[in-house]
Amino acid sequence: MRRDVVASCRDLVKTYWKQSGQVRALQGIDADFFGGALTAVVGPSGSGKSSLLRLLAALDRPTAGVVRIGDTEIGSASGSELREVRRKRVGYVFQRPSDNFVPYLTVMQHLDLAHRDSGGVSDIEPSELLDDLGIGHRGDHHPNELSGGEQQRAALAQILVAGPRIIVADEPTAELDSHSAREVLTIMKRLSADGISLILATHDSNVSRVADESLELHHGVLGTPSTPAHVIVEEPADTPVSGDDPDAAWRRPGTSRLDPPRGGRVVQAPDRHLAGSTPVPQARLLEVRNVVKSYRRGNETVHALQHVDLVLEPHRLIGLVGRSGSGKTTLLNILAGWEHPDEGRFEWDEEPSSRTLTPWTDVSVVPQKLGLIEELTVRENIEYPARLTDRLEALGPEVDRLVASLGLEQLLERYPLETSVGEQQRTALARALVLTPRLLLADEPTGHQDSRSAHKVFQALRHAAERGTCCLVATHNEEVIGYLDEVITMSDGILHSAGELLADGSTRQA
Amino acid sequence: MGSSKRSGRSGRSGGGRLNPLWAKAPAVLLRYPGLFASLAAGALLLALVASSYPMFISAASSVAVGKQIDRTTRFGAGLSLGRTFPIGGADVKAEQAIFGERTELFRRRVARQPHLAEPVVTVMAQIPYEVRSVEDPSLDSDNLLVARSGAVQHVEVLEGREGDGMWISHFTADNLNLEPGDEMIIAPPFGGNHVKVRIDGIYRALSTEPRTPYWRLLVGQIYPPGPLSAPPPPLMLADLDRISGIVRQMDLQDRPDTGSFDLQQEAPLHAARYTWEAPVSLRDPMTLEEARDLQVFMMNMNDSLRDRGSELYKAFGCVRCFSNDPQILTQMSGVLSETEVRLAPIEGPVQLLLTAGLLVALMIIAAAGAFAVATRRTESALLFARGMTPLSLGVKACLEAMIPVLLGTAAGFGLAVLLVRALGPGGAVDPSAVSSGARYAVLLIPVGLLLVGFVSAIFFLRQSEASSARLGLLSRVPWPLLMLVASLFFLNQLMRAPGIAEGSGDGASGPSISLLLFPVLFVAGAAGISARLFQGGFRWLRASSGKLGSSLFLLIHRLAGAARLSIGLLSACALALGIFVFAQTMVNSLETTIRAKSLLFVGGDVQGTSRRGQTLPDDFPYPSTAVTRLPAEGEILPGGAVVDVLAVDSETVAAVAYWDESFGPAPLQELVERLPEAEDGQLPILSTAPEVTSDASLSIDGQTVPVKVVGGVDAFPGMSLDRPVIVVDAATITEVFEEVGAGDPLEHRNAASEIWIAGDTDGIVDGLAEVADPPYFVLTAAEVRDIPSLSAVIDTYGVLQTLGLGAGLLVIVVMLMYMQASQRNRVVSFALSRRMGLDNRSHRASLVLELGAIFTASYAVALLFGLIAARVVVSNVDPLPNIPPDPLFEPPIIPFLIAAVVLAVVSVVGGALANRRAERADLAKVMRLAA
Repeated sequence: MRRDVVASCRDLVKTYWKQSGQVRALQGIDADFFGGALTAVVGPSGSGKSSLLRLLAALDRPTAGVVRIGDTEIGSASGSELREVRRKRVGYVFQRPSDNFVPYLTVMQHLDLAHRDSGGVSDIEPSELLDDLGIGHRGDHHPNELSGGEQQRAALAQILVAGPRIIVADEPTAELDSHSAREVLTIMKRLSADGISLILATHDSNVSRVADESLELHHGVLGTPSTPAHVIVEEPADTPVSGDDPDAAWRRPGTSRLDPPRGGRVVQAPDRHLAGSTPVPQARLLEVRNVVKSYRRGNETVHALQHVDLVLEPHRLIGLVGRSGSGKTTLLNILAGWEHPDEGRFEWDEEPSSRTLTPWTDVSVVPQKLGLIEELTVRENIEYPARLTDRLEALGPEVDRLVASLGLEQLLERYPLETSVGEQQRTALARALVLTPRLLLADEPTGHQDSRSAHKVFQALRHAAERGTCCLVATHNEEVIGYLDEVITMSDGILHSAGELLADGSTRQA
Repeated sequence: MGSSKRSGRSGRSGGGRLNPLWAKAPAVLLRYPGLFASLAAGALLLALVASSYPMFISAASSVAVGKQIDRTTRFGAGLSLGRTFPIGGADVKAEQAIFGERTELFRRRVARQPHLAEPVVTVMAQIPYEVRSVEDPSLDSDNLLVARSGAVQHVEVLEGREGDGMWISHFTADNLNLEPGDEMIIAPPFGGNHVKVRIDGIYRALSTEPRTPYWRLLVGQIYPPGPLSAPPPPLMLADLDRISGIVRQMDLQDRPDTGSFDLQQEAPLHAARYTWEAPVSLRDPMTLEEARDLQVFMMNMNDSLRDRGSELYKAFGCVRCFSNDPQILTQMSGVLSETEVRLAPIEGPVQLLLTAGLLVALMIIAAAGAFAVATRRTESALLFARGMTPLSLGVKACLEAMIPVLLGTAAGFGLAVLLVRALGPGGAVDPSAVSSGARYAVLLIPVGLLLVGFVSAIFFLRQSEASSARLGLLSRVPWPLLMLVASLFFLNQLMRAPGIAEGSGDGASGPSISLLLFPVLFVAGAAGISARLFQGGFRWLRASSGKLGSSLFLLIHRLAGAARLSIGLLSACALALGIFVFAQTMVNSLETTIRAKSLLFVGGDVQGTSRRGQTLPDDFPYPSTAVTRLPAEGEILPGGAVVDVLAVDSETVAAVAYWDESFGPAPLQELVERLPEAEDGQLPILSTAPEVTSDASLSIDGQTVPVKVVGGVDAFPGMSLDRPVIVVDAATITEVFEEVGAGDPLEHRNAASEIWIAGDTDGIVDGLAEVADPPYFVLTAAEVRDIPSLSAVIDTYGVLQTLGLGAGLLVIVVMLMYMQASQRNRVVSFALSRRMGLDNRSHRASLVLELGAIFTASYAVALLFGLIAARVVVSNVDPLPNIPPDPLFEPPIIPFLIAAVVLAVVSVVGGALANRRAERADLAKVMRLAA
């Protein structure tokens, strides 16, 4: 059935002027977006997805070409016309869930505000809308009291209450755990069925899989719809996801039939073991026993970790999985030494220790808030640990190797803010690996990576593990399961299982 | 969502409730203490500047009023009512009663005016009486009989006990060989009875004492009219009843007909001059407004006196009086007009400074508004995406700014009251000025709020790249260059016209606007360009920073990549400090120049007009020298040029006279030592006239002697403004002229003798009051300096200096807050860097160096361009152009060193505090929030 065109681009060009020069984000894009369709805009980091979405959300004007939202031509519209479009016709969902909120307003107040701003033409009842989205009990809460998934749903509610027919979302599932991501995706499909057009920039294969239309961008130009490297877990598109078993995907025995969408290529996940090497039992690097941690969040007490026991060994790449709010970040913080547990015992190298080791050569970290130094270039950030330990010259080759393996060659003289979030993540990873640490802690290092880049990240981690580093990586990315030696799952602060992945893809419980 | 979810109701969930953004807006900034403080600081400065203006002017005017009252004396500025009434009539009680009624009426009237003190009544006989010794009647002395309230408390008692009675001066006592307890005879000059009275006390004759305000009414009866005149008859002091009794006993006869009409002379001898005076009270200092009120009071009282139906007229305008209609005499109008003359030059420049201060404050508020949007980028982006209008965002910003602006305004007003009292001119502040100040502060609240709203709206528009690009064009305008060009325009104005320009019709002059605009624009432009060069320099250094230690490495990269805001702060800091440097240098240079000129004019710190040969006692605690001046009495031959001749004592003049090395080729001591050595009949001279050579002769009153120029000087202490001066040794000129058979030229009829004294002015003046034979007329260098236009210029730069200092302090505080905020943003990178090997000391050092580098660069720019501007302006501001030397350039070293030390301390402390903030940040919470 031919649907109406609700938005379109013709010969669209967008150019930015940065400190390091001119950046042509979009170079002549032609595309139509249909009513009631879910369109996935895919492409590697820096391909122009966010720029396209900003133009479609009337947040910016094109440098050249035409963007139409209904009968409004964005380039020539007045400021008030654009505001009208933003208030009533297009809703924009920011990439980070927390960016969709004013920190001092409750969820219900956000809906109230959105309803007022739209002129109150919509007859949607906000409290019922929240119930419908499964967050009716969160109306009086402030945004920081919500989980990532709840925030994303509340963000959608804000937009829906204003009654727009187009929703533009920039990587809406990037920072969500798989369960939350599936919930959000389900809601979006329902919206699409209701006739609302959704345009989503995404690296998430699950989104691409359920999309009605797909647009692929490479360096600001439309490419042929093809599938970047990702592994598809067999699952019928209309099979409801079980919300009660977040580990289900991680426990599936190996990979089964690969079912790429729409004629894309399939890339086999590599054998996680390097050719010619065999796993060797190692002395324990770190053992934690009975770790407990709680903290206050508003009026409630969050039991982030409850009697956690964990053993880490060298030469291991371990996946730490679980929903948002399960305690992964708290565990990583404690292992990094930034947080002190309420209870617990630590042993490093089988010696009791009340404090975690701090030097970067022992424990390096890639947190979600990356902590890159804005005044240093990408290269200088990567070199920084070597500089501080007077090993800059000696580690030159290692820096070069990391740069090449993580695809950062073209970015070395740029500053972090001139790169995408995904590129920043890879920079932070390179910085963490340059001194070959004994333990690497990484919190969602592929949250903003396209599939190819995500594989590069895990290849680098794999390489580090082979060289002796124990890599503990919190991740939602199911594509990279093939790289892992072991999977640890967490929910509600409890470590549920630690399973070693075997060569055939099955897991052996610890 | 399904249609079943749509409610049949309107769906307007807000109902009648206020928009949540508006409802929460006033308390939002409590979550952002830095923004709150910035806005409050800007509002504080705005209120401080605006409200201090009327209070400053009021305080300055009070000081001016006080000075004028001091000059006029409180008796002169007060009111006096003088009448000639009969005295010594037969009905003693009636006479006493009527006097009592008049005095009481006068007292009640003046009591209504809080700035008038208790009345002083004087009764003075019409003419002096002869006073003779009983023991030796051949000895007599004329004395004037006077009764005056509290008279004996205002004389120096030599013998006798204070209290009622008859008091005579020591002149009379010495002449007639009288002591307390002796009797004397008072005899009227034109016939009448002789009256014998007993002496109760002897006081030091007032003519030998310095003039005091108390005796102002009788100055003409106490002091001689000129230096060669004999003092008038001394006063015999007694109470009114005693005087009345004496006149009654005298049974005075009328004076002889002189054939001329003079009201005073025509009054019969049994009348006395009654004067009721109400001096200005010393209890509370008077403001200008209160002085005006006092003048109105006096005018009303005068009107009442002229109203024949009034009580006052009935009491003082009696038909038996021997003078015209009564009227109030006062110099208050002169006090007011002189005050206004002194204020006029100040008001213009202070208004200009007020404008400058307001602009600075508004810029800070605007910057805070911009910062508010910039730091809450996420919120701004969200509201932009939701279609919020810039107007709504602006209104929201206004609401958010309300509490900090209100608090800042209140604090600024309070601070203005304190600062004007503590650091202002020192005069009383009229309550109406405080009210005006409060009013100005309140009126500026909406201005500040609207500015915040406007700037926030503008920066809100930058969410869109297209709008940002358009607005970004503004930042590409080379503002610093334009400011420099504008400054050159005002420099040109300065070169073409004197820096101190004539004012409007009242003749008062004040500083021209170019004196202020040139340095401000010059320093601002230079600061802006320097900030960009500073950043460019660090970008250049960045390339070669690889081998440096971690502190320097981080420092160079931070400064090279510094955001526009920090470059702006650097420029603002340089500008504020530059204004401080400039103004401080101007004040110091002007004060030094004026001091030098005044000392040159006077000769030393104090100059006293004296008799020829008069000296001070040997034990006088300050060095002095005698000088004789022959104004325009010298003639240089050939040519006939008229010169002043200054005859000095070569042995003592160098220790006393003011000398600057720019005046002549050698120290004064060395020059004057050449003067006594006359050879071959040639008179050694120092000359300010280059045309006078050793072939010339000096002619005085037709007598001519050859001269030998032993030194050419550009200026000499005590020189006239109108003619060149020839300086000679006093003894040598006398000797040389006598050798040619001429008289002593220093005995010339027009010769003026002076005593110059060096030292603390107040100490010298007090010391002279103790001397038995002091100089007749005393002039101090301080009095020469007290010229309205000069005071205006110095006060103007004083205010500018305070403004610069205040703005500098504010910028420093903002800089420290910016560092703190930056550390909050860098908490993760800092924590990771510490793990990577960055030691705490290195990080702290980098922060200290970062602040230090910014402050050093700012201060270096400020010193360089502030001093350059001052050097240019100083040469164009000659406060007394007719008096050498040329304007002196005197940068004050101590304040600049103190400022440098303060900046260094602030850098260390600020860097340490920022480092501590980074160390103490709750990293776990930051990481959790990120997750």
